[in-house]
Amino acid sequence: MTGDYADLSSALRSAYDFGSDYPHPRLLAAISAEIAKGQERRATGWFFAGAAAAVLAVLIVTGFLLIPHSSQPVQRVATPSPSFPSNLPPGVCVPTAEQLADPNATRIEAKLVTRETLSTTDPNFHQGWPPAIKYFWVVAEVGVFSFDNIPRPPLPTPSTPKPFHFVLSYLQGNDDNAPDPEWVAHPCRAIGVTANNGAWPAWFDQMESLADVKIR
Amino acid sequence: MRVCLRIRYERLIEGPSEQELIRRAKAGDKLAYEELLQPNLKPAARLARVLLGDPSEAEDAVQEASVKAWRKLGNLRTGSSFQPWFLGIVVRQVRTIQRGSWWSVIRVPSLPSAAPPTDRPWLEGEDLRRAVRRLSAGQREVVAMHFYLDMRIEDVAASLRLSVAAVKSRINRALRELRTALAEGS
Repeated sequence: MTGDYADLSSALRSAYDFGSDYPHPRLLAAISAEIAKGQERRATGWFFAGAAAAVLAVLIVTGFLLIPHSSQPVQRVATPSPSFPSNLPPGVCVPTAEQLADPNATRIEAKLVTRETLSTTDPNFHQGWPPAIKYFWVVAEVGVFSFDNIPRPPLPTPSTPKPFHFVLSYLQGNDDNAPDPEWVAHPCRAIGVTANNGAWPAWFDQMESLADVKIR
Repeated sequence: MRVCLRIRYERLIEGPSEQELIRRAKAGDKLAYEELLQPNLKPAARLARVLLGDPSEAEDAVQEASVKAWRKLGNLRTGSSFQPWFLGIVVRQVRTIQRGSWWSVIRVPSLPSAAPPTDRPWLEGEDLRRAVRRLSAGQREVVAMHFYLDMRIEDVAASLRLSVAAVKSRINRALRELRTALAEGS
């Protein structure tokens, strides 16, 4: 089969030519350190497991006795922006001002879209987002961003810390009923980001939305 | 005696065989494991990056898979090759990341863009990457392993714990999709 499709192999290698410096030359050193750490952990693990269990037991008992019990539900800390429309579909969250106030952005727009619209319009739509998420807030930003100020979970410093000019953030628009305690604190939880040095994409402007908010 | 010396000389030049490295790594020799890992890091990272899109996430996936492979080295059957087994672990790590709710695609620097349409047999550049992104996860895996990393179908099957027939079927379906994308000029 390979012989018949040599052209496809060559087209793929050209399309995914990551250069000779990928992956980072220190990747093996990082793996080696991680393995060594694991070996140390195993050696000392049994001792610390016993000690930790004892400390945990004391803390649980003390905490149960000292902390006052409250039956009040946890308040959502969202601070709705006044510029958001009030007629959003039921159950849809409103992003907090903090989620939309990136000081590095010169232009920010947010759109509330259905899953169906996003999946057929956005070339980067991620199939792994739980199907129960029916609405997404997509926030487009233009500016000069570095890896550090892109909203994402903590990850090691990238090997190519170049600036980005365009960032799309994806916020969960409705509760997906997953057992996620973070939802209570952050109803419009960030669930993804794409960043590149391209221009503002035409598909974003053309995307059919339920709410279109120009923040800056 | 001469034969014996010759074998020893060849071993000196070529270094220990893969099976010897696997045996030593299984016995806890970290350096032997690193020697096994080193030539496989580049294909692993490239495979993960094709599947995930994000260079940092791909490196994280390979790092995590490498540590898992070290822990599970005992599961590698005697006589089996290291690469298909290891790349299988990388693919499963990629799937774990893809199943997670967090998704990021950081693109730096710009990759080559699509060439002007010609009578090319396949899409190229960004057009091809977009068409590959639209394949199902399973199709993307077999295309990346077979056509991008040049792995034999038997090795792809071993990596993904599929039958050879199942891999061929996925490849055929993926090729149909890619041809359709070419016809649509996507």
